[in-house]
Amino acid sequence: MDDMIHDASTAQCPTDLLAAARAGDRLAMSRLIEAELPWVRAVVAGYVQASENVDDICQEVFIAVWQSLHRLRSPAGFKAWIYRIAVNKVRSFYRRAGRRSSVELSADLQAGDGREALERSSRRESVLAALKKMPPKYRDPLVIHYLRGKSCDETAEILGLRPVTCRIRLLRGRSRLEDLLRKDGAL
Amino acid sequence: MKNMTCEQAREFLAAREMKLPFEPEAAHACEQHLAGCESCRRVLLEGRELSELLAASLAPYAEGAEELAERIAIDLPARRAAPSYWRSQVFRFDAAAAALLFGAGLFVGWWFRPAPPPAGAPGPVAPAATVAPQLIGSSGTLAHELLPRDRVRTSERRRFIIVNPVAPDVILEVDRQAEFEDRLELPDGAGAGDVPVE
Repeated sequence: MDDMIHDASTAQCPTDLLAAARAGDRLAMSRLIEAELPWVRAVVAGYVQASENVDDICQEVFIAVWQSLHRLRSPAGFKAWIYRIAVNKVRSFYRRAGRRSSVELSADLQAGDGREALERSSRRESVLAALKKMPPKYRDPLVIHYLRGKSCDETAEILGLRPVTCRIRLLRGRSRLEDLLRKDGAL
Repeated sequence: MKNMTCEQAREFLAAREMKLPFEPEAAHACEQHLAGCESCRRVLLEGRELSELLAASLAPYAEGAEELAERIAIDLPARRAAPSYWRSQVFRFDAAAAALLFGAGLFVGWWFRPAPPPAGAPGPVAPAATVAPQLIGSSGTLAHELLPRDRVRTSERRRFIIVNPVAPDVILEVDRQAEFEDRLELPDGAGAGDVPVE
């Protein structure tokens, strides 16, 4: 009966999907993963050294989400909860590997086609490199905000911040990024 | 808002670029500032460029996300069974009972704590750990006969530390021989002599 109520084929809004996933519906869980993966991927990428580790860590994040979804007390805090899991998974990844995060550019962005593409690619590399140099408290809001044009309120919700704090961090983060890119000659 | 400074104008431009909330009158003030400030006009253009560049740099993380999401969803392991209602309630009861017992133990310990010595009385004498039960001698044995000298503090050496053979773990301390005989309820002459310890 419960499964019938929380059926992913009829569940449309995130709350319904969440309820269905909590009840064990894998289809609902796959839709949730699809919705949340881009920003989780971008946040994780900001912390890790090699881009090939990003997807592995993301997989660990969503396995943890799936396994402990029944323990989530407030559905309203779902995104903030995923964010905390993601940051913890990055930490445990480095603890296991005994490695330190450092700047390494992703291979897909190193490839370019022609001078213009190379220049464009090089500027994107500079942006990603500059982002990795920034403290997470300024980097993560920027990444989440710019990835899919999320509003300040949505970004604040994911990060578990008050909107006013998020606004300040976004402005400061952008200003820092601008300085770093100017120093690098990318802007 | 009048006479916006360059700093205020740049903050406003960044906020507008990021679609952050701002005061409506600030927009007008900023337009006025931009009309007369070339460097802020340049900042405006750079800001737009930065937004585009940032969005383009992050776009690859959204690309191919559907495919990866599908792969992750397929590989999700079987979910661990959630603890049943009754199991969680029993666990809660156990934890609550343990906390209650611990609290009760603390309270009993506090209630039966030894009374503090009266003002002017000599300090506390040998704790139980110092006068160990295995060192029990005959009734009225003095501290210096039971314990090595270095284990008896000065304050203790001035007093009698005795053990009761009937209840060997009861260690009594007295200032005078008469008092110790009273407390032990020994027959006359059965106690130790009033020999100074030092």
